[in-house]
Formats: sequence, C-alpha cells, structure tokens
Amino acid sequence: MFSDIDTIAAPATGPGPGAIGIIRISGPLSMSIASQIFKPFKPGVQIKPRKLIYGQIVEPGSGIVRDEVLLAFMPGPNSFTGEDVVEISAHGSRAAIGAILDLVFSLGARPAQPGEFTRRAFLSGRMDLAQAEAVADLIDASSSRAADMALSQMQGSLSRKVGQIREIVLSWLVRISAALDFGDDTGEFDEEAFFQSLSQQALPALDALLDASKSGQILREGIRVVLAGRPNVGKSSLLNAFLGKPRALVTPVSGTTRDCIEEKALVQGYGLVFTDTAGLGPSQDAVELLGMEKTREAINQCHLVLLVIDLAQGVLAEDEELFHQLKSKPLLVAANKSDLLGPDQDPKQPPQSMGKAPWIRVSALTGDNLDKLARSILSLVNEANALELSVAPNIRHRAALSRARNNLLSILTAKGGLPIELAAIEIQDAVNALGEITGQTADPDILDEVFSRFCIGK
Amino acid sequence: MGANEKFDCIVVGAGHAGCEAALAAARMGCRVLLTVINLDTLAAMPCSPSIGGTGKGQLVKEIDALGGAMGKIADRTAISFRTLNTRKGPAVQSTRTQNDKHSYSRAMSRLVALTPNITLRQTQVKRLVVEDSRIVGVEDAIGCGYAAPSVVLATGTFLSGIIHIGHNSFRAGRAGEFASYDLAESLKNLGFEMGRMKTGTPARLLRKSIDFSRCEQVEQDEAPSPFSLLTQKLDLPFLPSFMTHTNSRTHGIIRENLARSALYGGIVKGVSARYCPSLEDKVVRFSERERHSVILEPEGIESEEIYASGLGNSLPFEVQVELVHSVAGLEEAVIMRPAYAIEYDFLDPCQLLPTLETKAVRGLFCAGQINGTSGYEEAAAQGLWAGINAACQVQGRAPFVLDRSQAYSAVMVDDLVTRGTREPYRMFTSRAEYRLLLREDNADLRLAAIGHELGLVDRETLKDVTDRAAQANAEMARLEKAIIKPGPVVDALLAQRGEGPLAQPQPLSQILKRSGVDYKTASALSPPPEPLSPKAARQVEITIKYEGYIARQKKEVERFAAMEKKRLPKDFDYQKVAGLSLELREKLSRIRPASLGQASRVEGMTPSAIAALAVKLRQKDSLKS
Repeated sequence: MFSDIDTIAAPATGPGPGAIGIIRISGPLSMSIASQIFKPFKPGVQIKPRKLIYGQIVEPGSGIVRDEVLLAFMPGPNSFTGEDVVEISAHGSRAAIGAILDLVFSLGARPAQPGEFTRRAFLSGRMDLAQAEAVADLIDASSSRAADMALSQMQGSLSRKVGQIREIVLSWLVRISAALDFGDDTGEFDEEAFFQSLSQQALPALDALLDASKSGQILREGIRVVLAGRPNVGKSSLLNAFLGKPRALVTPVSGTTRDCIEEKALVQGYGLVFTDTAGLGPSQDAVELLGMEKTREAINQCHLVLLVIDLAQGVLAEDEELFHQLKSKPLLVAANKSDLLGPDQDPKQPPQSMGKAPWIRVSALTGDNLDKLARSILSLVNEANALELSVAPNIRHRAALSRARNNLLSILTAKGGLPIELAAIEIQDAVNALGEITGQTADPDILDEVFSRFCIGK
Repeated sequence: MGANEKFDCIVVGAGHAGCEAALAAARMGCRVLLTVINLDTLAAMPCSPSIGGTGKGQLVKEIDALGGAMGKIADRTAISFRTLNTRKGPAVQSTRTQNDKHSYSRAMSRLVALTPNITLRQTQVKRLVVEDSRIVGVEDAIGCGYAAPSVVLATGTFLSGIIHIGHNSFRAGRAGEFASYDLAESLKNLGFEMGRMKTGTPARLLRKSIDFSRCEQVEQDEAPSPFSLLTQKLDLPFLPSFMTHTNSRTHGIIRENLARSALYGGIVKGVSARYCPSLEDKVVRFSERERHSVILEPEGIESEEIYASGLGNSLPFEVQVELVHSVAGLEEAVIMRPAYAIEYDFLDPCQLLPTLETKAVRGLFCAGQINGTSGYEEAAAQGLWAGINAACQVQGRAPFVLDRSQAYSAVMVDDLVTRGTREPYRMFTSRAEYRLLLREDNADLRLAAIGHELGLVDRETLKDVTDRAAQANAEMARLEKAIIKPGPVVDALLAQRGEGPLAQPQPLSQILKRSGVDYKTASALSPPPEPLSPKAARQVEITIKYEGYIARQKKEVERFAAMEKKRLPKDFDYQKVAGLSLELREKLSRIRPASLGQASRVEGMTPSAIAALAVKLRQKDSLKS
C-alpha cells in the first residue's frame, strides 16, 4: 500500500572528492533497490537491519561491477526519516557516486530535494520543527561550541523550554474560555493570578530565551574581534599568529594594511572572526582614509576590540587617544612585541590613563602568551553575552518569541486593563506563535521556509 | 402500503429542529410534510424552560437574521430577559429568556399550522425508503407511504429512547411519549454508524409547596432587548426565577445512594456532557465544592410547575424526594414529575456533508440531537440549515453553506461534520475562533442579506438592517473627522467618566476608544445632525472600541479563507500521502474534507500532516498543469 510514496536518493556527503562518499536512499523501495544492485562478498550473507555489510555494487543485467561498498539498512519507523533507509558508503569520487546513483534512479527512486530527508523526518513525527532546524545547524556548525548547541537543540532542549512557556500560556487560555462560557458557574476569573503568572513566569522565561538568541547568534556566526591600533604595531602579525598562517601582508612600512581583512579562526572550540584593520591615525592618503572609515564600521559591529600596542615603543599619546575612543566597547589591550623587551623593561600594567583595561603581554612573532590572550578574549565576551548556553533560538524562533512577548505585554500594559475577551485573543496568538517554533501550529509556508535552508542529501 | 401522498420534503419530528426545517423549506416554496408522534407536544421544552444563553443567544440571533422562527416565538413567550456576561465585552454577551413553555409550544404550533405549504400530521415514521442510494420517501406505523425527494430527520431523543429513574428503565422518547425503535433500525440497516448518548432533566416541583422566602430572586434586565428584528412589543408579564443552593446534606444523600443511580449504577451506557453534569456528577467530580446553585424557574404563567435547574439526576424516586427536601426552601416541596435520565441513538455526524445531508443517502438530511448535539438553539439552527439545503437541492439551487468566519451556526456544523462529537455538543463562544466578529449585535448585519436571498427575510426587514448599517458607517466617518480641542468642558466630561484630560486636539473616534467613554458621552461633545437609533449607536461604539482587534481577526479570516480555498478533490487518495499515519489516512478517507482548511480541523491532524497533504496536493496540481 505504500508503493505510491516516492523513494528518494541523494549523496549525503559533500560534492568534492573524498575517500568515502555516502548515498542515502529513503522510502518504500529502498530495500528492493538495494537488493537488486548489492552483492555481498560472503556468499549467503543477508542484509540485516542496522548491520554494515561489505560487498559490491553490480549493474543488474550487464553484471558490471561499479564499486566496492559498505551497505547499511535502517528499517522504518525507527530510522532518521521514519521510512526504510539504505545508506551505501562508496568511494567518494564524483564518478563512483554518480554511477551508483544512476543505478538507484533507474530502479524507481528519484533525486531528493534539498532538505527532503529531514522534512520526511519531521513529517513522520521523528522530530519537531526546532529539532529539524538543529539538524541543519549541526551540519553547518563551524565550531565545537556551535555544534554542542545544535546537538542540544536537536535533542529537544529548546522545544522543552518553549513548551513549558506554551503550557503556562495555554492553561490561561483554558481558564479564560471557561470564564467566558461558564462565568456564572466557575466564579470570577482570577485576574491577579493571571497577571502574576504572565509577568513573573511567562515573560521572564521569554526574555531569557530572547537573550539566549543573541548569544546563540554569536556562537553560530562567530565572535567578532577587531584588531585596532596605531599603524605598524603588529596587528596583522597577530592575525597571522591566530590563523597559524601568513594571511595578511606584514612589512615594516606603516600603513601596509589599507582595507579590512576578515578571517575566521577556531579558538578553544569557539569560532572567532578577526578583522584586521587599517591603522587609525593621521593620514592624508585617500585610500588610507577610506580604510579608516571601514575600520570604524567594523568596530561598531564587533563584540570585542583588541587594542594592539607596541611594547618596544611603550604607550604613546596616540595609543591613549585611541583607547579613549574605543573604551565604550569591551576591550582588551594586547601589548605586542614582548620579544623585543627584556623582563626588566616590562610594563606589566597599563598606564593609569588606561584604567583597568585587561592588559596582556604577547608576542605575535614567538607566539608567547597567545593562549592567554585567547582565553581572555573568550571570558570577556562571555561576561557580556553569557555564551554557556543550553539553548539558542535562531532568527525565526526569535521573531516568534518576540511576537509572543508583545502579546503578553499588550495584556500587562493595557490602560485600565484589557477586557478578558480581548486578552483571550492575545493569549491565543501567543500560544500560536510559540507553537510555530516547534511546529505545533505552523502553516505549510513556514515549513517550506524552514526546509529551504537545507542542502541536498540532508 | 396505503395512500402514497407526494411532497417535496418530509420532516420527521416537530421539535425545535423539525419546526425550523419545515418552516424554511415551506417558505422557500416546497410542499412539506411535517410528522410528529404527538401533536400536543410540538416544539416542546422537555428540559429548561428557557431560550438562549452564552453562545446560544448568538445562535438564536442568527436564526432570526436568516428568517427562522425561534427568536420571534421566544420573544413572544418570554417571561423574563437577561443579558449574560454584561461585565465582559459585547462579543461574549448573550441573551437568555425564561419562557412560558406552554405558550411557546402553542405559538410555534399555530405558526406551523398556518404556514402555507406545510402538512402537519401526527404519525410515527418507521422506515426510510431508499432507492439507488437516494431517498424516495418514508413509511409510517399505520401503513401509509409518503413520497419525497428529500427527508429531514429531526428525531431528538426519540431514536431507541430509554428513560432511567434509579434502576427502573422503560422505553420512551420523552417522559410520557413513545420512543421510535423501528426508525433507528431502519437507519442501521442503511449502514449508518450510530452511537448512544445520555441526557437528563431535573424534577418539576409544585409552586405552592416551595418556601420562596428562603431563596433569592434572580436579577433580570430592566430594559429587555428582544431576540428578533420583528418583535415590536413583548406580550407576557414578568415572572421571576429564584436561586437556592444544595448543601453538605444533599451531597451526603447522593453519595450514600450512588449505586442506586442509573448513571453510577452501571445502567446508563450513553455518553453524557461534561459541561451539563447531573447532580451525581457534580458531587463526585467536584467533591471539594460545598454547594451548587439551584435555580427555580417557572414553567409558565398558568403552570403550577417549577423547574429545579441544577438538581438533574437519575436516582430512585424516594431518594429524589429526600434530596429535594434537603435544599433550603424546598423542605416541603412536592415533586410533580420526577427527574430522569434518557439514553438515545445518534448518528456519527462525520457521516454528513457540510449541508447536513448524509454522504451515503442522497436527499437525506439530519438535524438536532440525532447529530449528537444538545440544546434547543443548536437544534433549531441545524433545522434551519438542513431545511434550507433540502429546499435548495429539490429546487436545483446552490447548497447553503456558511463558513466559520460568518456564523456560530457554521462553526457548529463544521465542528460536527469535521470532528464528530463524543458527548452532546453544545455551543460555546470559545468554539468560535473569530468570536469578536460573530456577535449577537451584528448577527443581522452578517446574515440578513443571505436570508433575503434565500427568500426567508422580507425586503422591509432587510432595508431596516442596511439602513442601520449605513447610518452607523456615516457616523463612524463623522467621528473620525470631528476634532475635539482641549478645554474645561471636555476635561470635566472626561473626569466624570474617570478619564484624564485631553492633552491635544483629537478626533472624537480616538476619544471614544478610551475605556471609560461610551458613545453617549462622546457624541455629547459633538452631536450628529440627527440622533442615532440605539442599535446603530451601539454598533458605532463596538466597532470603534474593538477596531484594532477586529482588524486583526479580519486578517486571520483572510488566512483562513486561503486555506478553505485550497480544495481537496473528492477522489483524493489519502493512502498515497507520505508522512500520514495510518489512522489519519483512514480518518481522512472517511471524512473526505472539502478543503485543506477543513482537513486541518480533523481531530488528530498536526501541522506536519497538513504539510504532507499540501505537498501531495501541489504535486497533483503540478502534474495537471
């Protein structure tokens, strides 16, 4: 009876050549397709659920061997998609994968659309919408912290938190409905308890999630660190040191870096996006001036400024001037070129004029104290943004959370109190908005939007 | 079989559903046969002698706006009026009348008997005659056959009815009336799935045996506002109701005798409504409550019977006497009719189309308790709906189906045919997602034009409605342009209403939005050229005060309408939809929703299931194009 449901197939690994490439097949025909093209090496071996089997892909009819592979069969409903799934680990060349896929398609499967495997997992109730999104996040995760967070969301952490808020709000919808329909029998509606529950339970919980979403964005997209400082203090050298490769040109000539250079580095499990900037200082050069304009923009958008000074020259008036311009941002002073100084010449603390700004002595050249600098960057950003998260709502979640928050605020801030039949509308909207996050109340358009983020084979 | 009289439509049962069905079909030009087991109890009120209430008042107003009879008869026979939820907003306010039940029945009888095209006959229909899945007529118990291309079943509690008082049970359609077993059999033979429901009614007490001095008089409206557009004056004098309460002794008597109750002694199998609990239910389920209210409602001006609302039970008679006597004011009360529970057959309404026609038998319609509902108003609204559709079908006109954004009656019908019901279905305001738009006060604005088109609302009545709408619209436009400047006069008036002074010039419409300001206060600041009728003034006030929320609901209605427009073909194969559970596939195949919107309301549907349907539907469409 399932024969009319499409069977889909696609490469599940990236498009480039690799040692191994995996083909995923899902749908009612997966097993029959597999058994037509797969011949185990050991005679008499049967394809068994959740067992890897070694064998060959053989073209039916011609008998031509296409590849040596490992095959795994995951029967529905306890598979990723909830359907019968076959995964073939083949040699990862485009040609090998393409040849096997052609065979699979010739036997009745069709190419999967982007996100279709995960969509099927959602449709069959294997995961809710927030969990499905976490699958995409996990695939895209560029740092281990971002991956942790995606995994936690995939396991339902966000869904649970949102669910708890939704339960509170929903319970009031039930009570309001009862008051409207059975006012005479149920006694008066307890408005005080209603307000208290919204303002002290639901609203703070929503706010916490909204805050978390800000930090989550930082984790997903990386911590933005701007390297600022006078020309020729070694900003580009520091960038190269963090990247472990010479990315920016380094010369003794002041003003070598004219444009902003953006590079991503992995530091202690976090993604850091460094922006190396043109040195800020007096200049008449039109290109340099343009570069300085871009530097200011980067400073505006960053999470932390790394003010680089040249220890060999000591703190100059220009450094102090820069410090005062930048001090509204979270700021760290990287006292560079420590290699040029003897220990007795070392000013360990910043001068009085720089207040209590953390001051780390480093050498971009030798790598001395680079670890300590990285730790300080992370702890400073963490202080401002609480990066130790178990949940991190994304932009879509954030929009829904904000809508729910506005609904609750309309009730809590209405002049003279909102009549309860209108409060019922706000509450209903809040319940719907929260339900959109997990997909309990989502129209098909939202689902399309969510699954369009995926690439083929996921 | 005897004489074979021919009609356009046969209505079986002349309760609140049957009468509306017969009147609608006849007034639309059909020759109608209305059959009733006992002509003396036409449009009876076998339970509470009252019409309307929360959610139900809206239904009555809608029936009236579409040209039905219930509102008119309720006004004419009302002995008191009460607006419920007055402390809440207009969207959830509902009218309820106490009625002289004998006058009600007589007035409806007279109306039906005098309406051209209706043949009213006392007889018991025992069999439906079906040929090729099409109804062709009915046969009665005395060997007569009646032919018609459409039949409306409005059988109330009569289908296989059994009354229980304690462990004594007997067949009856209502106390003192025959039940209808053959007709129930005929429906089962046609393959319909039938279920069993239970309802009940409290004892009737002798008026002069009650000590009313120990009870409180129930408030009523000083200026009654009638249900019907056509009501000019109210005929009957006011008659009060009284309130008293049960107490721990009453509850003790019930607990001691629970095993002797039909409901708790395992006799009753039918499902009863959670929201209309018998006294046994209340005592068991709300054991923490020390008392429950009891309303003593007069059954009529010339009646000596008092309906003891809240004391419904299925206990043996001697226990009933004891428990009645335990209530303040009822110490010496004499029971004239005992309380009883009644079980009856209903037809799973998922077997109906949105026109209330059965899917299996063309031309066969069902309305009222047979569809699993409870309440006179719910019955009447369905009767009207089914009667109109029977007439439309016979006359080859387009079916009459309103949607959930248009009327409470549409919410009810959609709920029934889409979700079915496990317990007697009652109208509630919370069942309507657009309740801000579906108010008592705008029922006529919503529906009178449709009633007129059907031929059930006359031109003058419709003109009154459209004139009032025009007047209200003109006034709203004026209020938006009338700018009020700050000053001592304005501020004094605002202060009187507990509102702060005006900071800057503002249109009157803005001032009217303040919670303390009503239309009367606002219009005093700048009166219209001609004073508005009270109804139009109220319309203006509600529309302006609710403006933001009304706009929001209208936006939601647009989204809803878009989903209703995504039609699911009749031959849509749910077995072929990936991602649907087996259970949903079967359910959808049985219900056959007309649109993606209706499918989304099927019980157990999830957004992912809807998405799965949408995907399949899109594939189907893209294949076609």
